[in-house]
Amino acid sequence: MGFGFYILAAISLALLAVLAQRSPGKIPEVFRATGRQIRPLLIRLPVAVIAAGLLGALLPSSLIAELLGRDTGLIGMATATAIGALLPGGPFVSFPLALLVWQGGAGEPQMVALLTSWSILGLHRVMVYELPILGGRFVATRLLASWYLPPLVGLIALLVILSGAVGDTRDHIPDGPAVTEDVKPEPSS
Amino acid sequence: MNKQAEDTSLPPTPAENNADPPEGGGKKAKQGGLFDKMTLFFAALGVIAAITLAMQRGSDAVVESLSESVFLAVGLLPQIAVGLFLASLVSVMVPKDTVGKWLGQSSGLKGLIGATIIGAIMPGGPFASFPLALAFIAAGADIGCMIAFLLAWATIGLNRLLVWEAPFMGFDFSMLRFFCSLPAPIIAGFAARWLVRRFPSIRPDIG
Repeated sequence: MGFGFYILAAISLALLAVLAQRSPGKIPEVFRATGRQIRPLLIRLPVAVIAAGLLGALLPSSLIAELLGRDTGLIGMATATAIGALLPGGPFVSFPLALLVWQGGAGEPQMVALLTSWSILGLHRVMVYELPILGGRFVATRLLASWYLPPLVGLIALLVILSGAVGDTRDHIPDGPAVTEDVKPEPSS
Repeated sequence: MNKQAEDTSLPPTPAENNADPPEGGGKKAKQGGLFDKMTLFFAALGVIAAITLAMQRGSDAVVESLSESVFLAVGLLPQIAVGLFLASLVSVMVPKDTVGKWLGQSSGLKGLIGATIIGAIMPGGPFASFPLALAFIAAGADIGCMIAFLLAWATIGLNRLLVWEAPFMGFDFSMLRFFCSLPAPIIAGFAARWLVRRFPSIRPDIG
C-alpha cells in the first residue's frame, strides 16, 4: 500500500466523521453506493490485470524502450500521444496497460504524455459518451481546443525532470526493470 | 468507458471512475455485472496470450506472469475499494445545485479556475461528468468553463488520481503528472473561448 492509500483512507475517515455528525441517516447510502460500484470490479479487474500481464510478457520490451524511452524526446511524446488516444476502455484496462508500457522502459515524460492523452483524447470515451451526450459541435470545439495538450504536458514534465525538481519516480514499480542508472538528482526541498 | 454504457441511459447516481454500469443500468448488469462481455473479452484475450506465451517460452513463463498479476490485483483491490468509498461519500455530501450555480454564473479566468477545481474534485465516471456538463450548458454555462471542467475531470481528477493512478503508477509519478497537467484545463478553456469567438459557426447549439 502506497502513500496515496493512507491519504485516501484518512480523508475518507474524516469525511465519514463529518457526515456522521451532520446527517448520520445518509451513511448507509454511502456503503450501498460503494458496494454497488465495487461488485462488478471484483472479477473484471483481476481478469484485466492478468490479461494485460500476459500480453505484456509477450511484448518485447526493447520495442517499447525504442519507441517511448527517455531519449525519444518529442517524437516519443507524439508516439505516446497516439498510443494514449487509442488505449481502450476505462481505467481498469488502461492503467494495467500503462504500467506494462512503463515497466517496458518508457520514459517518465512519455508516460505523462501517454496518460494525459488517454485522459483528454481517448477515442473510446469520445465515441461512447461525449458524442452522444454533447453533440458533434461541442466535441469538435473541445478537441480543437485540447489536441496539443498531451505533448505539451509531457514537455513540461521533461523540463521539470531536467530541472532536478523530482527524484526517481520509478522506484516503487512492482517487478519492473532495474532502476535506470541515471544519477538520482537529490530532491530539492 | 465500456461497452455496457452504450445501453445505459443517464443514471441517477454518479458512480466511480469510468468503469461499471450503474445498478440495473444495462441488461448485462442484471447478474451484478460479474461476468459481462468485457470481462469475457479480457478472459479470452488472456487465454490466447497465455497459450502463445507457453508456446514461445514454456509454461514457466505463464506461471510467473500469473503469480505477478494475482499479487498486483490483490494489492490493488483494497485501494480501489477505499477510493470508491471516498467517491461515494463526496457524492452524497456535496449538493448538486451549489456546483451548478458556481459553474453557471462564472466567467473570465475566475470561472475557468472554478470550473477546473470542480472538475478536479468531482467524483464519478463519464456517465456522471458528461451529463452534468450538458446540464450546465443548458443552464447557461460558458463553453470555455465546460471544457475546462471536463478536462480537469479527465486529467487532474483527484478521484482517478487516488483510486487508479497512484496505486498503479506510484505516488511520485502521479504527483509529477498532476502538477504538470494543472494548467491544461485553463489553457483549453481559453482556447475554446477564442475558437468560439473567432469561428462563431462552431458554437454548440445546446441550450
